[in-house]
Amino acid sequence: MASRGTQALHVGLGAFSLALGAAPLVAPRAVARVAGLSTRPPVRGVLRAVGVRELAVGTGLLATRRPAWLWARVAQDVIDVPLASVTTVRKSGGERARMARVTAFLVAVTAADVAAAIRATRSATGAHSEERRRQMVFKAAVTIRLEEAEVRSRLPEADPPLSTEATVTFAPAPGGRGTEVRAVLDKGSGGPVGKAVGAVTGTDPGRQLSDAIRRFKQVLETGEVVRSEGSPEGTSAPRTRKQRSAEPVGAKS
Amino acid sequence: MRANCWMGRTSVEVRDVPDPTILNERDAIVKITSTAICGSDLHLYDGFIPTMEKGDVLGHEFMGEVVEVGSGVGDLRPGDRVVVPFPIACGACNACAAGLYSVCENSNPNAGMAEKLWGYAGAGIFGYSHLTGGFAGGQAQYARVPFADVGPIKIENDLPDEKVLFLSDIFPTGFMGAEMCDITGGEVIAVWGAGPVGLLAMASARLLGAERVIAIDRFDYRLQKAAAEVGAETIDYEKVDVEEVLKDLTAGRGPDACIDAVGMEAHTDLAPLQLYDRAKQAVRAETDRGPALRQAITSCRNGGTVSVIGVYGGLMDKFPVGSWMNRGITMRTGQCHVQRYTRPLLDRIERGEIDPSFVISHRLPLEEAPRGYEIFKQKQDECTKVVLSA
Ligand SMILES: NC(=O)c1ccc[n+]([C@@H]2O[C@H](COP(=O)([O-])OP(=O)(O)OC[C@H]3O[C@@H](n4cnc5c(N)ncnc54)[C@H](O)[C@@H]3O)[C@@H](O)[C@H]2O)c1
Ligand SMILES: [Zn+2]
Ligand SMILES: [Zn+2]
Repeated sequence: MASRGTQALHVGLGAFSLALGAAPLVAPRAVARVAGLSTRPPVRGVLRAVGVRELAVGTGLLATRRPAWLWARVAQDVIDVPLASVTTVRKSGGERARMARVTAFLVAVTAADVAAAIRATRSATGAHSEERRRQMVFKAAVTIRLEEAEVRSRLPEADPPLSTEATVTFAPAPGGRGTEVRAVLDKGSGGPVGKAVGAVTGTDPGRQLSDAIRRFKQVLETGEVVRSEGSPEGTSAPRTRKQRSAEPVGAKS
Repeated sequence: MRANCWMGRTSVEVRDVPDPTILNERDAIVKITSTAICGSDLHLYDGFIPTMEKGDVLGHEFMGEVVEVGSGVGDLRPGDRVVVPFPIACGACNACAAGLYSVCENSNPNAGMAEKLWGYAGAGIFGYSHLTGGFAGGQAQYARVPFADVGPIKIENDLPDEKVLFLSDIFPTGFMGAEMCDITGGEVIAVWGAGPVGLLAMASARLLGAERVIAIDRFDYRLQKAAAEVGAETIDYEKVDVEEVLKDLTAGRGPDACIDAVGMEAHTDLAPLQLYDRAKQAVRAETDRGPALRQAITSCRNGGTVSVIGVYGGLMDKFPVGSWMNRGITMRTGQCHVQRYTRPLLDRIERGEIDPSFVISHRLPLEEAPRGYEIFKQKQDECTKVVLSA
């Protein structure tokens, strides 16, 4: 799966590159001063080049989802760290301290970039059929602070019902914490199509299952499904996506 | 009724909204007499907490009179005067049973949303985004209070609102911040942030037996308050190198515990760091600015504790993991488990051990909430804490 997380990281790092790139181009002197670098012309030239490079990589990151662009960021980090040391004016202890901080900052950026690149590369080459098969089996679980016998006997109170399609199992929770309740829903062969339809109609079976089991826990532990102004019907995946604003539900005064 | 609503980034507006009604059997409706603006509200105001909707009623620090109760609320009746804790907690789940009310497993109907960001969800919170449930808040004339049989604490004497209002949040929060430092007597406690939360953490550290308290901020009037009210030594982080001064004040040991009462909008005068954090925050590559927390960790003595009560939302870069790990520092944190503290802290107020109202600088009518937000955010007019009367 080219996960949503990896995509967000692409976009985030891409935009960050653009922002970082624009600064040294527009105001190389200011950037040099802030970064504790010399403001002499050769340094400003280097900074401009760094800016151009950031812009190129940033655009690449935003335009495609290819891990190669993330590796490009890593490569440029590797240049930045020693570059920072070279362009520093050797002067007072204060400036050296400031420079040490800038270098530490650059090292940190490098680390973030390496992680992003590795993640993206892995997800781009990962095997899929196993994964897809697993995606058709939905699971949800909660721990309810009541004895197993009571939880079992009150299963019919689940709203919406839990047991019509899903297989529900019970086990005592360790440490006297009540009962572990697990629900498994196997959408088997009809899977991918069903899931695609579900995504469009807002009836993703996985989310429905987790809503149902959460509501069951609420009813057993608190007596009712918990309602808020944003989610007046209580826990519900479609409502999570489209919240009502949190102002009172009531008659206008 | 009238209510202060979030209308977008740095925009709040007092508007007409429907009166709240009972939605759950265990709800109560409270007619609000006093409510406050919190540093946490500023994170919403400044747009750093995601999942706000235009029109959300803000406010999580409030008290008032019960005017209606649902059929499932046994121990409250109309006419009761109550202070309402900001986290909503059911009292029946394993978290509540363990006293971890701010991570109640049932009170956040939007738990699925929060799990995406945090792994597991926290409790519902009044007026604090849809990630924490989408509950209408208490900067209003009335509020619906779920699980009214668990949270609200009855005030059965004639203490004025101002003395007990902060049991809703900042006094328990400051107290928990100090309690997490495991003070046994004789400690040196450094507190980042001399806002209302930091000031009450300092006062609580004193109550628990700390020998010296050091306040760190850049607003002189707040530092002066810390010195005058709590007897704190003060450090202006814009004028001196905090780590060096702390090292000096503790003869090379470092403070025994450091409390972060600043949170995700921390500021620093170190330009490259501020630029770095702000740039990453702007492009959503980082949600939280870390200068205060980073410094609290690197300043703490070996084997000491860093107690984090400032609120953080998502991800922070440059976390000083090496300093934390190699020096055996304990980090403790959390949204405050307010319900755990309301009774014992009310007792302390009644016994006259502390009067938390010393943090108040401004008293305004609810209608002036927008101005209250602005002066509190800008730290104008020596603003420390704004209380609104509804
Ligand atoms: N954990 C909880 O349950 C809980 C409850 C209430 C509030 N809070 C949080 O506590 C924090 C403080 O709240 P408040 O109402 O006092 O807000 P506030 O804005 O009045 O105070 C924050 C203070 O921190 C100072 N500050 C900023 N950067 C700093 C730095 N680098 N070093 C030292 N000080 C710095 C500011 O000058 C300000 O005085 C907020 O993050 C708020 O969300 C947490
Ligand atoms: Zn608060
Ligand atoms: Zn609970």
